[in-house]
Amino acid sequence: MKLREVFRYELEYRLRSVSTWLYAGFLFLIAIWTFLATAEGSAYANAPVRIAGGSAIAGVIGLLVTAAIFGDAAVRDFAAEMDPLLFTSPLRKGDYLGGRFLAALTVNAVVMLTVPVGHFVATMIVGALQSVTVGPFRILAFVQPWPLLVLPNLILAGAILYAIGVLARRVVPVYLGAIVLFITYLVAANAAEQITNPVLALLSDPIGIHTLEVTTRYWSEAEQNARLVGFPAELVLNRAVWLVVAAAVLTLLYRRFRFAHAPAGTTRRGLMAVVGANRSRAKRVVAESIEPLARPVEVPRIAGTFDFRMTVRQTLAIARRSLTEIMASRWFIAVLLGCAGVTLLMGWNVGDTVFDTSTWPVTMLVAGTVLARRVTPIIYALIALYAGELVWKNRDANVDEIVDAAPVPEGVALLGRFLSLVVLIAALQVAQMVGGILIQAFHGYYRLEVGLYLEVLFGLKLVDYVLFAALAMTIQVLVNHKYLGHMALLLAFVSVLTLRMLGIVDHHLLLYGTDPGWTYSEMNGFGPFIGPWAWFKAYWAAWALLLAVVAALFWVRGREPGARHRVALAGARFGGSIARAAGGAMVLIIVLGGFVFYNTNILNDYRPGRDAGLPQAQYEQRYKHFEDAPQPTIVDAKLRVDIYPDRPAVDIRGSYRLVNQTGVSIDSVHVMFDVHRSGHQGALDLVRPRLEAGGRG
Amino acid sequence: MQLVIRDLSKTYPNGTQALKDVSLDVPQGMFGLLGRNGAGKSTLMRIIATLQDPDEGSINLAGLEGSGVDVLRQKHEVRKTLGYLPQSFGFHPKAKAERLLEHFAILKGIAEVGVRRDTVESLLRQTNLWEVRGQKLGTFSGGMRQRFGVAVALLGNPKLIIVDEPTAGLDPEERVRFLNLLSEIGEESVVILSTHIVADVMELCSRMAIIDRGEILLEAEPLSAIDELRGRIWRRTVNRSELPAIEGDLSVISTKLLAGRTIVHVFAESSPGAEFEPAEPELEDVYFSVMAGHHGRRAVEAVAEAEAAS
Repeated sequence: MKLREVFRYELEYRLRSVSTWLYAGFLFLIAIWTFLATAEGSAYANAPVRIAGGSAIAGVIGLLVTAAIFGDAAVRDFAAEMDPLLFTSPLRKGDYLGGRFLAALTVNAVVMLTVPVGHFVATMIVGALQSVTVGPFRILAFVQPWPLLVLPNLILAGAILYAIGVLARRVVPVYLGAIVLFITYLVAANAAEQITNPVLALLSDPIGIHTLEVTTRYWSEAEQNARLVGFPAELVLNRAVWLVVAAAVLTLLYRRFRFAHAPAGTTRRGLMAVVGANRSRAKRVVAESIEPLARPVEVPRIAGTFDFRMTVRQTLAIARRSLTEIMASRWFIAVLLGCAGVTLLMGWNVGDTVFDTSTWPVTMLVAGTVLARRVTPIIYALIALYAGELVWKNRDANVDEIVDAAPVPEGVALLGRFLSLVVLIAALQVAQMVGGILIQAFHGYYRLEVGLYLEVLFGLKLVDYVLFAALAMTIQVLVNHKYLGHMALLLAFVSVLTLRMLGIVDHHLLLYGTDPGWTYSEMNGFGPFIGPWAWFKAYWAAWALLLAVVAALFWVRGREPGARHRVALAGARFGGSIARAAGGAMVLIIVLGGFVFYNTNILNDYRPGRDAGLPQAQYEQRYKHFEDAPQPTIVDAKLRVDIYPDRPAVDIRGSYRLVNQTGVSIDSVHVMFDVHRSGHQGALDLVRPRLEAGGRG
Repeated sequence: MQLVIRDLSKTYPNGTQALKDVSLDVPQGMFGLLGRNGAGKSTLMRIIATLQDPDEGSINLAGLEGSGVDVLRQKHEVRKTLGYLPQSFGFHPKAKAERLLEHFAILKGIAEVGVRRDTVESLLRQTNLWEVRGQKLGTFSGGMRQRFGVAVALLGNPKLIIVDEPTAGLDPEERVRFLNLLSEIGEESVVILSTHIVADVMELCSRMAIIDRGEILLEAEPLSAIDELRGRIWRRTVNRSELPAIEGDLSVISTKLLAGRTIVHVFAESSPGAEFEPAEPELEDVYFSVMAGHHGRRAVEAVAEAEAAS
């Protein structure tokens, strides 16, 4: 009875709040984007296997929503300080916990229905774009993954995050828990390949995506297109195992949870109790001395001075303060250790398969593959998280009214926080470097190229991250809702990936923060890649400056809500140094963008990714009729190759010996040049063919 | 030095009209803004503190930089000389008192290190927090946090100080200490103190205004406002059961309990009956008669309406 009331109340509360429906919209878009991004290859875009896989992936991203919904359900009473009223009512804790959990689960499950709907819409988009073939529509293909993959994963993640929230009584641990789950999923997906023991494989696959992959691995293309995934035994078993885990988590929660008051500052206890390390550390409240008021003290009447030096000083003070606040948190050290640990985990096998040969984990492999690619999603997630915390820190501590009334320009408040975020990123980079060096050390490889680490981490990747940080902070400021801000950022991030993947937009001048890429070679280092890379990054840095201007204009100050007011305020703020910064950014964008465009599209022939196959197609169409023309065979080649890595150039001289082994006489020899290679100079001398002893032509 | 507020109006998006044509002249010294919860005090305070914008009206801080500062437009100029203590606020719990105050000192533009140290030290001494300067703010009691807030508000020699309901939630001892502190600083600046506690205003303020439902009902000096009521407040001790009859016949402005009996205060130009004895008016009587519409703006409007009707 009471369970039902708790359930109904929570359900109504959740369904009435706007955020629930925004989460649904977010997942809908994510489902579409991820589906589009992975719609390539020969099977139908709406092949059942593909939809099932996409559902599992959307579920992983849906962790963010799950954390928001379950975290809110778990923490709201404590945050609103309503817990004393509830906990003293004749309510049983089973009803309380159960009702809340089931309501959150119901809401989240409903929100997750947007995933199949999104997949369906994405199928139609793909069909309209005609980029991939779309097979016949089958409703079961969209419906089946939901009970098989989406719902069980939701129950598992929800149980874990809800338990964390209720025991910690704060929302931040819930989000950190979601990140840990996310990392666990990544690591599990990474490691599952190596596990041959079926029991272990089952246990190491909490979201079922690997089991799905194994089950359907050997399906032919026709099977992929036609067969429904259904409910294969391995997958059902996997799901059952993880549902048992979820039940165990909930049981543990039920046994640990007490209807009791947790003194402020000791909320950690609940969590520690689970870990089994219950060390009570009671808060010390300073006893006030009851002396009469100290004799009036003369306070120096010093008015502030406000010049450029003061602006710099204020910026640094805010940066320092923000940094101290984040570093003072107990979580910070855990984040650094986790960062190093994840690097170690994800990069452990980096030397295993390089062109199917195992090699030492040389620094380039560790830095270029692990640090520059595999670990990056986690770093981006952390940056997004900290950007949100930094933008919201004063409001979260309820000190915003005091600080907002202080004579600090908006740009200074923003820049100070941004600087602290840059320092945080640098700290994360150091942690990754430690992780990377540990990979090498544990493999017994000690030729550490610290210089190369620094170049990759503090040269190349730092720039990527700092550009992303600028975007993250701007979105946080604009959206003005911490968790929706995270989602908007993720959406922006995935959109860039999808547009690139689909080849709709792939010029690096159009996708924020992107660059033409780089490769490192032991022979000539980063070779010719750094120049173009730097031009693109400079161009995007100018955009980042423009973003900063936008953020400063819309920086929330005071207690005046409403979009219209914010726009009006932004208009009023525009002027002076902000206008100059905006102008400077515009000029830089035009100049740098112009230069890059001149190089990519005028000096060179720019070809969008979706046209990449075009020359090949033309070639095949034009020369198809020569396909079976008799041609001689190369039986001997003598080449003298000079490579000039610093120019870069290669000089090849040599001779081929061609023999006609076909038995018919050949009237022409076809030679292929790569006409698109710039600076190609070729000369070809044909020696008169002669008849050789034993030859047939 | 004077704060001139003219025709300030503010309506929230949900339709609540928080301020209606508010005009006030706030001179140097302590100014009390009295009103019950939800009367529009905090909205007015935030608008003066540059944190909200009115729909209409103007605020000018005269006597600062020649022609004065337009509070609504030159926000940055105002902030340079503003001390604000919000109604509810917190501090980062892990920050240490001295360190955080120094941080605020930089934010308020106190550049030189030595001066900053001196300022921070004397403010901490003045607010009686010097002994606990190394403690984290999370361990402070409510009163200590409140005094730390005052220390922050006093940084940088503010000419305009806004204190929003500072005594709510303080125990009596803390309250006394806090009011002493305020009275010390109130001499050279414009200090606006909003409160719903009549005694706060009585003890501290040389001028005051009563606000209700977004309207200023009375703007006066507390002592002369009390004088005006002299001879018009009558008191009687009654049983609870007699109360409805009296409320029906007379203009009851307040009822109070004393040892289980009810003391009724009645507003009347002449004695309402033999059972009543004349009462020495207090500021509380001013407040209640203004709120009940026997005095101040509402009374004037009622008279005007009655005249218009006749």
